[in-house]
Amino acid sequence: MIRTFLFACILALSVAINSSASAQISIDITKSEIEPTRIAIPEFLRQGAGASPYNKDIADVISADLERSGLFEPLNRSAFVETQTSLDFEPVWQSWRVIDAEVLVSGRVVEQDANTITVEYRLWDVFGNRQLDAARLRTPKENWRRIAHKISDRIYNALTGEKGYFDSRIVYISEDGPKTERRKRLAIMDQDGANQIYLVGGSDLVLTPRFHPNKQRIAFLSYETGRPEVFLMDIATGNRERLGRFDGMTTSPQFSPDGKNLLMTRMVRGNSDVFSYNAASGKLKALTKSPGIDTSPSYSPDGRKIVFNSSRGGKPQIYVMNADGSGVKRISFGSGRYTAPSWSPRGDKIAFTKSEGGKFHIGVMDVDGSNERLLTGSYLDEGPTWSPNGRVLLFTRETRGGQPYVWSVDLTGRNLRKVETGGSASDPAWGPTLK
Amino acid sequence: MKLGLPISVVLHVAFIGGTALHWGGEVVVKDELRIIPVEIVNISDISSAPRPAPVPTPKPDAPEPIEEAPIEEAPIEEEPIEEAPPVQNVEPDVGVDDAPPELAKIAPVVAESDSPKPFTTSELNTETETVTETVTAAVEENVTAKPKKPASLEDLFGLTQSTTQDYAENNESGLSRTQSEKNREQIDMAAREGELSTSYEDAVMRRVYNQWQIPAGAPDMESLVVTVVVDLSSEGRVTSARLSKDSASKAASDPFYNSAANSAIRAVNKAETFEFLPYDQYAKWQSMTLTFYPKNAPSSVPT
Repeated sequence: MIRTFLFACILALSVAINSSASAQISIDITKSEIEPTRIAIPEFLRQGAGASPYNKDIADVISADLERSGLFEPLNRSAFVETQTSLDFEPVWQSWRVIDAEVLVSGRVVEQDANTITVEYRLWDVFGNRQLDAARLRTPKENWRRIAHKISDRIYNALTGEKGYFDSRIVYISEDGPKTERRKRLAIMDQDGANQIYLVGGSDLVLTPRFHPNKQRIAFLSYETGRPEVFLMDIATGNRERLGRFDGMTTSPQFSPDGKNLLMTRMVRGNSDVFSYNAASGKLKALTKSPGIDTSPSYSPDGRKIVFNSSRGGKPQIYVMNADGSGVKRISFGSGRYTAPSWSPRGDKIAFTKSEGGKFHIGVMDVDGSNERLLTGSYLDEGPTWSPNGRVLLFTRETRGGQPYVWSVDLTGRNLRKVETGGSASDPAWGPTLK
Repeated sequence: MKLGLPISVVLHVAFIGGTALHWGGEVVVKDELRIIPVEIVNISDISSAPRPAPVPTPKPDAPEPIEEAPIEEAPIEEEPIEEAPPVQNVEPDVGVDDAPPELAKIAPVVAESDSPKPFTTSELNTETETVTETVTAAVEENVTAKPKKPASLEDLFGLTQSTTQDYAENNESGLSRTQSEKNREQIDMAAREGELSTSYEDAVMRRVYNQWQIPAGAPDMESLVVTVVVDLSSEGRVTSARLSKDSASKAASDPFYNSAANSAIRAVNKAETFEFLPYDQYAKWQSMTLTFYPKNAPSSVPT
């Protein structure tokens, strides 16, 4: 009894203390408006004659990377008040606050020897008076762009909590020539459009390249044997091989997250189903067996689920099943036709193409089909592919009677841009970040 | 049981061999496609640049000696332009405080000189309408509140120069700055008219709102609600901004929450001073709790 009373007393006392503590003012701030972070990126310092022009070029590439993400606003260098002359001391905070820079990137390029540069960089929180990140990077001179992308990745990560995606590459189908005699070539470039290289000649039709989750290897569809078949290619060596010999046509390749299996669609006598191909055994396993068209499979990042599109219910809709083909569940119920689903590497969203009312959209939904949101809309938008961090989507956009080009959009629907691919391009696939 | 190991070994060898044959082939690396590694050393832990002792009230025109020294013996001095700007540009900034009296004298000519009337909180919320009236009134109030040494003609000239330049160079920031100025001035007004209790909280909210970048695009963004405890000096200057216990523990485990927390703290630090807070009620506002709620923008079908 006494114990209960004592307990009640303590309880009452603690409530009283709590309420007196919360008597201070509390203010709620609610915001949905998105503004880019103002970031100052002065030219890097240089040490050694061979450090130039990398000190400027690296800062420029970082600036362009961050600007393209839509989350940062690099400030005009002519407005800078302070010119840092050393990387070993804190900047004069006030001179960066004056120009409203929220973060400052400073760096130094040191010529290590005739072939190598070392880049040291620091990221400063101007209003928090502190260093957020710092790193030293070393590489051969000709590889300087990757240093810039690596630094961009670190800045992005330090400020958004999300992994960066700048040190990555994109494969796509480069298109040229007249419509009747179209030349489609498999090409690869850095995420920012630099270093474009053709991987396959152009004598045969190639389609839908897809990246291996962590190796520099791609799967794609080629007509080089006269009918569509899935090929694998090692990007570094250019070696390619046909993926087994199967009845019918194989299309829509997609690697599993561990790279051991490959999903694809096999079409036999007008019926297409989703298959899983095991790279080690070379065996195909049917995952769907419905009479309709089942295609465009894509693994969840944990490899346990597969999203695909099926016309079993009439119009094509999006379905999810377990990796062994069990537990099929429809997740899209909107009007219109849903195709080309792609599971986000972050795991929280599925991107898709939707056609409705004579228009095509790229959209995203939660993995249970809720919160559907259309991000784009045009005459023809199709085939979304995720950035390695699940933050940005690439897709093909074609205007009526025009050429296809690769475009990008943020998963929130902001920052819609055309991606620089040199000429016409389609079927982009974003590769993993480089090691 | 004894067969387990040999079987396992045989199977492993077969598997590895099979895979090697399958993926193998001659390895001729094309030079242009070779991935050249970048060697990275994280130096943020081992060598943070030396920082001066924490100075809560930054003095723009008195840089710490520690930063002065290296500037003189800097190894790279090829660009002769770099020496001058810092000195020049600091001036207009210092002049900002001095200038309002002068501007105040000019302002009434331009603005309609209605005599200021008391504002209710609801009026304060409709920003645009009351702005022209409050600017003049509030600036006048500024003059009486804190008398300053008169600004020289050069100062004023420098100010107009720098502001027009700023606006031309970056229209957006110019606008946002004037907006927050306007907010402050509105609040000054209201404070004078005795509308304290609700309006200054509203003013703090607006000031911080303008400085805050929401963690857009993070997974489940709306759950990243951050609570920051802010301590203020009697002049309304932020002396510390720290996460609440609950927020701090979430920030430690979730990188997305951590970056949301950083952006909330940055917003408070950027707001710097809430100079409009009434001195006589310091006990009430010396410590405040700010809670940040990021919201998804309403979605619309793109056309």
